[in-house]
Amino acid sequence: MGKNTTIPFGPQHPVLPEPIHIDLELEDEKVVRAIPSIGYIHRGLEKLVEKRGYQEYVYVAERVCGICSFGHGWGYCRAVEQLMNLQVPERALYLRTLWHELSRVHSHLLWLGLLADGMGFESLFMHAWRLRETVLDIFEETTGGRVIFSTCKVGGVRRDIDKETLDRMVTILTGLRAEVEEMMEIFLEDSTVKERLCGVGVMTMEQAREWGCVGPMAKASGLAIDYRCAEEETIYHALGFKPITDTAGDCYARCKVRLLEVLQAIDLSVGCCRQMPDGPIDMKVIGFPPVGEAFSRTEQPRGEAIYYVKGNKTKNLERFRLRTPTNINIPAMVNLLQGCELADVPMIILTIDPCISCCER
Amino acid sequence: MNFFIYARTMLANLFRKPVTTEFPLKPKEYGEQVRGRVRNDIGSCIFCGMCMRNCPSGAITVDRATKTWTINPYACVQCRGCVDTCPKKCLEMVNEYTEAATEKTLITLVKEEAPPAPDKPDA
Amino acid sequence: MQQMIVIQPQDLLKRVARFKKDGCRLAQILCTRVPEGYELTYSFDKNYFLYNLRLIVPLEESIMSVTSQFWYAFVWENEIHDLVGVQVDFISPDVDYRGNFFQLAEKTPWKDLKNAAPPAQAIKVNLKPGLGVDASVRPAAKKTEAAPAAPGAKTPAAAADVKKTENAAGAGGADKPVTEKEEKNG
Repeated sequence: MGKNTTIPFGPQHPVLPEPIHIDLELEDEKVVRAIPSIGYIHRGLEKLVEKRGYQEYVYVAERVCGICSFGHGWGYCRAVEQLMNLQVPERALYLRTLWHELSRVHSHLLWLGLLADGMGFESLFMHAWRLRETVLDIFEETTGGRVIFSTCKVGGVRRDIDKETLDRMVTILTGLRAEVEEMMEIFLEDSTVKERLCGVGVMTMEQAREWGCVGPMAKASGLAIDYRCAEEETIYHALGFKPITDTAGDCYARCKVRLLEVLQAIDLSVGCCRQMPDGPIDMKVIGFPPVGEAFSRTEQPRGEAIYYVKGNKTKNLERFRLRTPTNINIPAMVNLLQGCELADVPMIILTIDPCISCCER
Repeated sequence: MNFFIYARTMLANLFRKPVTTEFPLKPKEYGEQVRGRVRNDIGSCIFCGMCMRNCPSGAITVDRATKTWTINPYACVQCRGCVDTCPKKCLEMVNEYTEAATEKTLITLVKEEAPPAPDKPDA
Repeated sequence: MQQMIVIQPQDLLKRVARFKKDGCRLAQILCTRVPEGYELTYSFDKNYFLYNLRLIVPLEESIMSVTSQFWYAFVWENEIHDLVGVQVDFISPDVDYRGNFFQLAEKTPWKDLKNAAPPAQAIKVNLKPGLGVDASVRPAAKKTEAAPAAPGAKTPAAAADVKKTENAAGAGGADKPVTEKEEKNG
């Protein structure tokens, strides 16, 4: 028997700028048990819906998370639209899809940079974030904000993109795709990266199902859960979307899935730019949400998020709930940590792409 | 052996222009669309309070009695909601950000009453 | 893409076990405070279709944990216990946090049943200190400032008076009809 120690990990930790605390019970260098605790930054945003009008709450919903902000705004708007029985114009849907996919590019590039930083590959980290800057510039130009767009509203979108900008975006994105492909080679072939990621934190498909994983985490284990395949997502069907999966289930596979998703998201965005139909971008929304409730879902960069709204025929909604992908991936993370080496802990935590701030709302 | 796979990118980076800008020397230029801060053309403001009611962060205070319009620029989240709901379109979003400061301040705008003489609309 | 199934609290485990057998995954647990007690919704997903189990639990009663079927449900069971105050029995012992999952200043902050505040009231709430905003300080100060001039406040002369005090109080950026003034508030 080895020596037993308990090591506190977080909420302040060099590799993980996220406020999660994990007590790691070690036997020599091996983790035998991990106990997570969250709740350091619970902001009660779900409760705030009672004090804000349903139109203004979009801005609050977007601020649940900085990285997947557009998706949260969209998910909330979609739930309210479902509640009020609104049919959003097609151009608005295309614009939403475009921004959402570009957010995915920026989120995954950010994560890839953090991963490189986590294993000490500083120059690759800067490389990934340099590419991300291209996407942020597109956001700044089309929405007016770099991270928080505030373009989604109940009934459509608030800003249009003109034809020339769309054409220019196609050129920029094609250039970005070539650069991401170049970076992908480094991530997938470099031996330092491989040594650090291959065979670490393996999760089989059965385990992924048992632990309820979603998003790239599940897809890397061969479980193709992706809400973009659902019937409701008509735009993705028109663009010919197919989820990307891998079977290895280790950290390397999760990294690979996200890299391929970056390329796929760029392709989908280019497809959106090319197929953008003409027409109105929003519709007039009259009255307040009726008494009733609605669920809606979106596929965020980190996985599927569920939104729930309950109306009571007043300006304010009665209840809003958001189940974020990290929320459901934490149990899997805890399980993966059991039995791994202490040095691999940061890599495993990073590869689930935790967003604790989203998780707590 | 794939040890030097990054070397090619590294060499290319050596001969490339830096992607960063010399920020304090060359200030960043923002595009037209950028949501920087809210400006109020108080002359045409009617103090209806729509912006106050629609502000998600409660940054705006409108007082109809004293004809004042107050914004806390450090609580404003630049959502542009007030600009869209303003019935007189006297609010606008400027593409420059509020400058950083060591103390939080409020910006108060007071509308001067027009003199009773009808021939001169406003000073 | 959803279906709501209303059940009795005592049937919960039976129904959950059946969903598990059918190969559904638990998507989320939702708890809302309603006048009758707690309104709980368990959502299950299969092929992107949501099946929702709806049950209403009276305030003093407790519900059974579903961690025996879906182990990862502990995240939400602890969450609803900490935030809304539902008693959940027999959470799997290794993941039972006993009310310490969220580090909250106040126990079960969402337990009180409050109907949504009317909009006007909501704004007053916003302006109280707490949002990092001292906005409430300013209008109050304004009123005391304007108080001496209050008797004739309607006349233009009085309004001009107010403006004068404004200028005297601080450095004013002078636009034509506008007095732009920055005021410190510590």
